[in-house]
Amino acid sequence: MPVTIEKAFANSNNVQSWFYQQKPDSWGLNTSISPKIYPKADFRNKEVGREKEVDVIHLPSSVKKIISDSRQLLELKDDWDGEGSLGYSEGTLNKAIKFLEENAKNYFRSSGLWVTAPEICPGPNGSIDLLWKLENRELLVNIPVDENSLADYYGDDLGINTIKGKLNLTEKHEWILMWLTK
Amino acid sequence: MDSNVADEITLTWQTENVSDEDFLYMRVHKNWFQPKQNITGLFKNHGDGMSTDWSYYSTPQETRNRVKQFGKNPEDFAVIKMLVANVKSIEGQTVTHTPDIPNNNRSHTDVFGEKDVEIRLKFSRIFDIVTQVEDPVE
Repeated sequence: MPVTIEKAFANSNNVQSWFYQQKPDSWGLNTSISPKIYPKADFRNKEVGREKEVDVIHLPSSVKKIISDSRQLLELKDDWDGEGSLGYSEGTLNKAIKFLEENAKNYFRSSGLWVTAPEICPGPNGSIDLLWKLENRELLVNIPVDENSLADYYGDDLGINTIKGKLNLTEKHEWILMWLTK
Repeated sequence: MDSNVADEITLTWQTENVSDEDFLYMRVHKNWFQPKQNITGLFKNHGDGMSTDWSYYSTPQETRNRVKQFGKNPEDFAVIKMLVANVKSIEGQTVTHTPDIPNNNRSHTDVFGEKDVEIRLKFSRIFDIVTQVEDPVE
């Protein structure tokens, strides 16, 4: 199914769009795609003198389903595992989803590729884990409960190539997906 | 139980060395498998360590059934196993036999060491499910 990217500028009649065509299921397979880029024009809204962008990228249905399924985490209340584990809040889950959506889209903008969808799974102490398992690389990002805390991440190639650190969730981090798909 | 018997059990259940070729069993509540079968969050310390059962003194079924004494239903739990050598190979993790006398669990073994994202991801690579939630309780 083609993935459509539409970029339009608010308050402008000059709405432009261009389209990428993608192999079916490329999200899941982490395969490369051959973007067909159709002519685009100057999108800036000169009438209002500013570049107010409305940027809509339609995520593949596979990742939409993963996000939709992740709402089940909200059914896990305190002591959901019989071991006293904390339940999951909508705020923490929304942070995880936002991190996923924004960085996946930014990665797509940069590379024209969709990265393999992660698993969204229960983390310790009310936090949420995003786990990418590719053939040669794996990455775990832990989204904390605390609004102001940094997210922890670790990734490796099942060998000697590793990355580890903390992420400020208010910033862009598509680089980490570039590392993952390298 | 009088104090003499308690003393005898304490002496009997001394800490032993856990062999590399043995396994550690852990219960996993069925909710860990919703919505995905990934359990990176399972690997965390409760207090100082992560509780497991040593295969030398426990079977997977015994590990599963042990929840009965805490008023829980074994049917709600699966059991995973991890090779001790693989656990010890994860940076900073040590395996220590810590018999749980109050709960009459001689197999109780702690895995000590920090469980950050790196460690949890590595734990998620070394387990196998030996008892499924759907398996009948024996």
